[in-house]
Amino acid sequence: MSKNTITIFDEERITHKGENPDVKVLLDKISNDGIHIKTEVNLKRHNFDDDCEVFFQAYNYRGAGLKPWNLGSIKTLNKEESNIFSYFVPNIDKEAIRFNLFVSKKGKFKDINVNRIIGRSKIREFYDEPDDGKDGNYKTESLLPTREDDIGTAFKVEMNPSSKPILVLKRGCNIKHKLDNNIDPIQKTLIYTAALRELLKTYLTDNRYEDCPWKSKWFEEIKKKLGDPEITTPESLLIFDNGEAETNPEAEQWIEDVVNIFVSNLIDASGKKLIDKFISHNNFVRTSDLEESEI
Amino acid sequence: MKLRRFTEDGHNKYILLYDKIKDSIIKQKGDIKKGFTKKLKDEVENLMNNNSSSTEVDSGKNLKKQKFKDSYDLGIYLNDILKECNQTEIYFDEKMWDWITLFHFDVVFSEEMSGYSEHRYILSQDWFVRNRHLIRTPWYAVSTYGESAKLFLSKAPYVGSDYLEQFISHRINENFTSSGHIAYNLYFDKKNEKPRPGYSKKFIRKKNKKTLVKASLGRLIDKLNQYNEIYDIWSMDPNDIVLLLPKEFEELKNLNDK
Repeated sequence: MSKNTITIFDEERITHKGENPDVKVLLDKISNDGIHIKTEVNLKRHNFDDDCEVFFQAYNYRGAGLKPWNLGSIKTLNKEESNIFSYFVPNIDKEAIRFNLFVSKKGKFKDINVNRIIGRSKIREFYDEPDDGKDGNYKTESLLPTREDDIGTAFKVEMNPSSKPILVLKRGCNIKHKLDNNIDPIQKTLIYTAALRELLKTYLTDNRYEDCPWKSKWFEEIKKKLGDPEITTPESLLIFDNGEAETNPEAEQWIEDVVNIFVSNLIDASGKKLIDKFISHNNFVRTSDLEESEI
Repeated sequence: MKLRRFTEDGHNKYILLYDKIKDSIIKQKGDIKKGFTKKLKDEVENLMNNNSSSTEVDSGKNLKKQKFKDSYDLGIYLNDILKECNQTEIYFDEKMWDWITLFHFDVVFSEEMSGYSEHRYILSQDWFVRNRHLIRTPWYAVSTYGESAKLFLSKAPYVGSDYLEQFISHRINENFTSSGHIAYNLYFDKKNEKPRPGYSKKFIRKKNKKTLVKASLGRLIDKLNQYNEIYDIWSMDPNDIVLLLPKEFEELKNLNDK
């Protein structure tokens, strides 16, 4: 009987968050045509061989990666306490960007020349300094972050089990800027009302989200905001009666209550409700609009 | 005529005109010959000759009405026309790409074709359909993959290619250009100057069952994605990557060696 020998090459984990990470990716500047980043690297605590090469790659969340930048050999990098590199990544926004730092070593696989990855860090977000530098408290993040992308419709909710839901907004329409900066209450009300309904309906109908940690986070937050122990979180939007599916009216009402609290009753710094701002903006008709409509 | 780009108004007119053409074809039950009437042909000509609907692009060269053997030939020509333009600026300039489409309308719109989707003639920003544009995509493929783009652009300029659709939809191929060269070396029959048939689809239906096509382009992309997790494929020689491919690719590798 023939014997096959398999050599397993362990991949060392390079850290990018928490205290004293091996690599820190910092957002330096946002410009119209891309973003400027700074990367700080210190891999001394790992025992990589001197001849290993270190690469840093920026890629789009969908997987399209730029050619990796060579940061140098371990020998060169380990001469310094810390190494800082500056890069510009064109045609991307900060929500869509991801990074990959890897250590590569030349070797052989069945006489074929290969460059093996022996250390790696997959980085999905920029390094966030702890608030007070001590207790590891990090800034709170939105449960429904926005991202611009080239989509056909004006907006859509991107959901996958075990991933944070994202409100994707059509690039080039300026919607993201308006939503993130609270500029247009009409757009904000309409988009978030529809998006939140869709999100809740998905969580209440699709079984794949049963163990999704983001569903749990959403439902915990909803419970807090509703602030009424009498209101129970529905199990499902559908009820089955003799094998036939019907919409659960209690779940429908719950969705409406949640959207009301999270969107319509959302209060800004001056104490104004979003729905009130919507009403006043919608009733304000510019003279030029009136003239055009009368022609 | 020197390279131009539509004005806002000109672009809107072009979009409306194509909508009319599509509508007319639909009314003729998909018969392009009947649907693309003399009146519509004249409207295309008139929009083309209306200088107020477009403006000159400073760094662009002169375009020439001509026939193209295939989309690759068209891609080479477009790369030459646009080589002095700022590549970042023109990358998604739909007003320029759609104007070129109008200028070469007889090249990309033919009575012999079967599809007439607007995405072939009006550049969409939507990632899922942007590569269906019959003018921009040949330019993009030649400028990204060079001669290897022959694999994706071997058909007449008015038809899409299955190899292209299957390949370009995978994001790894966008910047890891070696994948284009590897695919070309495996799937392009250099002797007969055409793609090898039967490998463009990852799955086919056999006896009503979804069946995996061994050594297909989809399988190659699966393997590249796998290698990308364990090897630094960006620094590796493409020939070494081909050597890593499993047994199912042996026949193709040997064909390549002949």
